[in-house]
Amino acid sequence: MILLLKATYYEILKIFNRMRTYIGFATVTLLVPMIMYLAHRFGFDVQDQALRALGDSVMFVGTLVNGLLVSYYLMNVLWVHFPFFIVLVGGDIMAGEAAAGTFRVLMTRPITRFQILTSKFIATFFYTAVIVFYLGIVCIGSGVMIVGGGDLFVFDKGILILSQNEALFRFLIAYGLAVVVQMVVAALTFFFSTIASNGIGPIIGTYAVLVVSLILSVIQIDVLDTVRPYLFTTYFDVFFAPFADPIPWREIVQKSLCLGGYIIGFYILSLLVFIRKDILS
Amino acid sequence: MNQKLLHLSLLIIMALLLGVMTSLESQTLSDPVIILGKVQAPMEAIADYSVTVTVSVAVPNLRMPDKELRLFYQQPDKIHVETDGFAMLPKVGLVPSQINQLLENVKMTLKSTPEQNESGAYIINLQHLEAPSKMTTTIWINPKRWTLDKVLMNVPDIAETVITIQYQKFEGFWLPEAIKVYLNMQQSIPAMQRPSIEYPVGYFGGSSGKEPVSGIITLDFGDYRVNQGIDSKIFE
Repeated sequence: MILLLKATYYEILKIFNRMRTYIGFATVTLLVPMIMYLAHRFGFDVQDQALRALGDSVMFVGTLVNGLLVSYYLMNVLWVHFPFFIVLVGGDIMAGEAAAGTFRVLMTRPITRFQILTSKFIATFFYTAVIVFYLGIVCIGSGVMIVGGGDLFVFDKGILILSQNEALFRFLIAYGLAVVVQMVVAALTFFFSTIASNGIGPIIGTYAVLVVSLILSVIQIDVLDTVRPYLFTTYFDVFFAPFADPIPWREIVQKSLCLGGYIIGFYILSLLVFIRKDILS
Repeated sequence: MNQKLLHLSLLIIMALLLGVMTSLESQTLSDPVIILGKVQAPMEAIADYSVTVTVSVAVPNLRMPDKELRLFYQQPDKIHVETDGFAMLPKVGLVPSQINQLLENVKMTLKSTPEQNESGAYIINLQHLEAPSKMTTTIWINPKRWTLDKVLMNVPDIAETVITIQYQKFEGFWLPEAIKVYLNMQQSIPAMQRPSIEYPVGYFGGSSGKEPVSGIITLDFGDYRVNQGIDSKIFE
């Protein structure tokens, strides 16, 4: 167990010693405040459109356009765009060692294949959690600083306006669930990384699966209804569930368990491949 | 004889004066401008006030927490609202000067006097001359305390709004204690769904938004501070 923890610690160090690890952090650091500034400078007429039905009877005080609203909309990057930063690191974690030929050296040490793979898997999970929460902190932090705080305006059976404190609590749950979602992507790319012997293959492979799954999930053709429950992307929208009122805990637990199943499934597959793998170079 | 004639003359003059005054009085109360002037007159003594307002919204497909805000008013028509985030307020009845806005570019007609209706109020019709639609407003004036008790705003084929105002006497002034805004809209707020895998940015599902819908906005007023002086800078 101590060996596993030590190995995990060194794997985390290895991840954070690579330049590519910081591409995601740098992009988030630059892009998010820029989007916040643009939202603050030019705004968008969400409230006019949504509350038009109330007509001339009421006047609106304050605005619904604030940092929390922009952060909420920015969560849409978690569908397709943000996974790139996950696969960029996850794709290289096993394949990189294979390509560099360092597995052979590693296996001369008193550490089992199970421990090597598990430590890398935990390190990948750690990176995923850190970058997702970093996105959340930068979004909400820069949003509140640049655009301002306030009530959060969301769609849920019409219009739902959450108080700032309530919204921050919902964001915390949402980003926690986003970690689970992104971890599925990480686990998939980890599995491909275990098979491949270079870092590019897992990135392309994961993205191909992700995009195809998303397309199959989005296209409204009846025959695909039978396929959708088996696509992990079907459960990706779980991170928007905390913004409903009341919070649909049952749905969140069900979808999280499904996503957890995929994570464990990809981990077991990776383990089976790696334990049986001939490491010749 | 002369003294008797003098008394008789005085009696006739007094009767005539009484008749003229009574006639003038009844003429005054049939003039909507004078009636609304009586509503405005007591408010002239209010230079400024601030009040805490709690706003509750009960409109289908619109859920928001109760909102507490601080409303600042200064003569003649300055309003400033301080609140965290977002709130909705009725356009009419919130502060005394808003009755002036109601009277801009309107043709006024007295629809009913207190003797002619069960509510015991002066009912005045306001025909808006510059409104894009055929908007009409009807107001109910309480003749006992000269307050605006009810407003009905009708925009044909779009919405009908009824605003009822309850008052409390504070430092000699009748000021709003509670306002209820009953909204009857021809179009509802669509039942938009939260983002999902099929519709990543949310979508207009369920109700199309074309159905008529009713809702209530309630405002409770408290913690009045009248004529204590408010810095004009906050209205800038």
